[in-house]
Amino acid sequence: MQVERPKVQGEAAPKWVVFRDYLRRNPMLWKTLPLFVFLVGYILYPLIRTFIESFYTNQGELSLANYRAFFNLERPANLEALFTSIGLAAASVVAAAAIGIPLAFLFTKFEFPGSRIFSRLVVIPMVFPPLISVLAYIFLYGEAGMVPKGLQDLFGLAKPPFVLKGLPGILIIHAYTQFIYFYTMTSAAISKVDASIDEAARNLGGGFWFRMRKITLPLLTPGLVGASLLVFMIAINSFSAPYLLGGSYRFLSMQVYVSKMNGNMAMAATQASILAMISIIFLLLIRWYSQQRQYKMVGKGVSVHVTEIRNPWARYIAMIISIVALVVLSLPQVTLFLISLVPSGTWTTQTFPPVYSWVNYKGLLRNPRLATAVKNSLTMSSIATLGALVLGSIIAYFLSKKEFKTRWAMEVLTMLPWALPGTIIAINLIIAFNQPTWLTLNHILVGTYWILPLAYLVKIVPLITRSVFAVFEQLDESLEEAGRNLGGKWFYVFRRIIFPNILPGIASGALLALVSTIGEFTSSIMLYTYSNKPMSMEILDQMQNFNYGPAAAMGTIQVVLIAAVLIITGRLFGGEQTGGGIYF
Amino acid sequence: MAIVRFENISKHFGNVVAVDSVTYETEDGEFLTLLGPSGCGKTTTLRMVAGFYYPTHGRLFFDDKDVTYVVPEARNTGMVFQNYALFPHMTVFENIAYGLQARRMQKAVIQKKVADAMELVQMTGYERRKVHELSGGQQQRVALARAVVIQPDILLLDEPLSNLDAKLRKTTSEELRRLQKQLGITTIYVTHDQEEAFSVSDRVIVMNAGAVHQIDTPVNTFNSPKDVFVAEFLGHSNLFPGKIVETDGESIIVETEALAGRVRAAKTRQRPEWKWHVGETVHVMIHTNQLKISSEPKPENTTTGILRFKMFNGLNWNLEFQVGDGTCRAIVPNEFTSDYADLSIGDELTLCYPYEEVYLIKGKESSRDAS
Repeated sequence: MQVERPKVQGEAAPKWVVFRDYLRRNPMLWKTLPLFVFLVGYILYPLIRTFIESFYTNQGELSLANYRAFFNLERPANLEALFTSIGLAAASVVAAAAIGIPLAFLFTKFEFPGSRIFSRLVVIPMVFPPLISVLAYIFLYGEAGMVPKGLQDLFGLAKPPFVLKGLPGILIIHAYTQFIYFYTMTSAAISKVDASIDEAARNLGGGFWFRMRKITLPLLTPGLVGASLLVFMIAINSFSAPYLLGGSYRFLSMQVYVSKMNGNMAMAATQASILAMISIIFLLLIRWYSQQRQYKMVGKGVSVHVTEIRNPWARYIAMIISIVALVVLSLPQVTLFLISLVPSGTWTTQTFPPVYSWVNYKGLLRNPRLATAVKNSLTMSSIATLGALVLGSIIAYFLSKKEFKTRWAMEVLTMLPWALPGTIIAINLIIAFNQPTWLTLNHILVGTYWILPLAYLVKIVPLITRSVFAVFEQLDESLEEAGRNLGGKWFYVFRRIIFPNILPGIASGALLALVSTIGEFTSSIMLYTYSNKPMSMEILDQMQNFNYGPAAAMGTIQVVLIAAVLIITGRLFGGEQTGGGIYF
Repeated sequence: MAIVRFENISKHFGNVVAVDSVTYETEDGEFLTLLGPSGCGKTTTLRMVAGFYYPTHGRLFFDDKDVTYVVPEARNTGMVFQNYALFPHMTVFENIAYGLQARRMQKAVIQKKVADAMELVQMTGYERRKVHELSGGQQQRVALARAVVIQPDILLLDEPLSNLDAKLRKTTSEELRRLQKQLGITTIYVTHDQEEAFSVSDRVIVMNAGAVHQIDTPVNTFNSPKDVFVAEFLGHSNLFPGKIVETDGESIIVETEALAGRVRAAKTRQRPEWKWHVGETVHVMIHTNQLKISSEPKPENTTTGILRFKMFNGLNWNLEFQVGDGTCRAIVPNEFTSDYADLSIGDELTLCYPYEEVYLIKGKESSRDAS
């Protein structure tokens, strides 16, 4: 809105008048102020505090000593961690692509008995929170895992033929949980590309490899680049798998945790700053890349024709690959559930557990320790979700319906926690709120119950903002106009038309956020106290005491909750596969 | 250039029979149109020629070569898709050059051929444009250039005009016809729009529910439909069921309740291969433009109608009457001297139809023997 500057005759108007008029001309400045207080106060300020902290030694002197130590070639632990993390991330991209892309082609481009069901079921790894997927893999392929021990028994070997650990183990888990990003991006790109494009390419005489080179790959490139950036960012920030399987390897995300545990906060801040910088660069890359206009399909779409596989052998091979893929993909879930039925102490040297019962599930209610953990997780997730729902909805409303100069800042700040790993969010909160600030009502937040819900809230604001934003974007403005035109007052229109239309989207966003924090591990491990010990920490404790059953039971509950929410919101087995899982 | 021969071709999708034992042969350089309502199997038939579907039964030949199971890229057909299927990541030039590159032609040859093709469709100067920067009509021309530049044996057009507006559709179909004659490529064209089909084709195949109902020139298809489906699908006609009561050397007399009386039809107007017998059931077909309003009663082929509806569209008046226990439509030319404007609903008028124009369609059982 352009309003003319007030004419100032003679002497200049007092400064407060100028300021008042400026605010009047730009009402969005004060309307968005509360949101920016939150975004800057709880997201940007802690991040900057960490960055500043990295320039101070533990003795409080301003110096570059931390960075010198980090890049010290004589004691290269940190550099080693940096390069291991980068290498792991790159390898994860390759491994995830190698699984996700071929599967997407198999299920999207070809029709064979069962191809529809397979294409829906292939996303089942989405039901795993990071910690639980590692858990399931340890049960399945770890030192005492069913598969290595089973093979050992079967062939009478002296020791298990293989054991999942170290870098290859982490890589396999990354591939398992992250191929979905390649799968969804590729299959979305394939189904978005009109089938007639490929038919035209064949009709004009292009052979398989010629079409692959000239048509298919160029059209898939935007999606693949997007998926690669995303997987790289997730993999370099991964914490659960390195924590449980890393052994003697060093990883940057782990180093932050180790430094903090050793009380070397200056080094933790330095490592966190470097990791945060890498993440932010990737966030900006992803944002920039997704804004590059991808190919627009011209012409109206007509019905999709799927290639028929004529060759019966090809059909059988396609079916066999699908079945093998599904078995491999769903084994972890099955194993987790099986272990959850095994009472503690009954399974010692046998390959497969001899006794099964529901005792572990009953224990979740009866054992005060476990019940408290479950209750803590549910309470803190609910608090965080409610808070994030309010904030995220308002942010989404502004981003979708309003034009203002600081829009980009709001967008970037909102998405920032999405890119930052839980470790860094935790370190930031620790450094920012280990002293009283007005943001925390002059309390020290560190060591209290409330720091964990705050960390959860910060982490899920992007998730909720995004799903509510999508709802607002889809809401046709003419709906509201039609409602007004037919005589509805503003609130009547909101109640009868707007609200029913946005409710499902907002509810699904909130549910997704809720289940994604119930199993939160990475921030929790750095922030939890005795008063708010969440499920993930209890799982870890039970694992360390070799109480696999209760740990698996808690894991199964999380999986069931997530699966239920995914099914309700239509992300799992639904018609449209939305991009990726709920953790990113 | 090639002849396409269908031998008893059927295509099933699960339990659905999309194309049901179709047999016919194109002529060399012919413009052949598959016409029918949506779901009649015309697009499926075309896609079998392109090789995107393989027939469930039957064989397909290009000239004497059996191509039933040849992969699409080895058939040398040029297809224009309903949505054009232009490659979105390529320029106009790259789109047209694609087929030539797939054939590993030399760069200079490709340059020349693409330039010629672009001139042919009057798109010279648009080489470097991205396809989404083009209008619908321009996209359509690029799609056409891309299909003909490879010098296909057969040109396949799948409703290529359906995404254009009415005015552009008319000029483009004229252009298409001119281009096809100039290049002499055997062309199979799919449409559900009969005017489009009639104006461009040498022959028209009317299909319904997977079966071929009639293969004929546009004029014969319109004037002498082989069965009631074809007549009804093409429209512009009044159909009344009746029974033959008398025949002689020149004419056939049909009694129909719908017209409340007897109708006399000239034998010369009928399909020569059909024989007529007293007692057999037939349909009387009178084109809407053959129904006249008469001021004085005539001895035969006349009936009384009550006006139920009238509409003016410039050149003509569309009138609807109730006659006997049926309705019939008439299109009468608008002339200054005529006074249709003064007619009001409910008026009783005398309608007549010339003896030489009354066409009879054989009943279902007998029409199958004849065809």
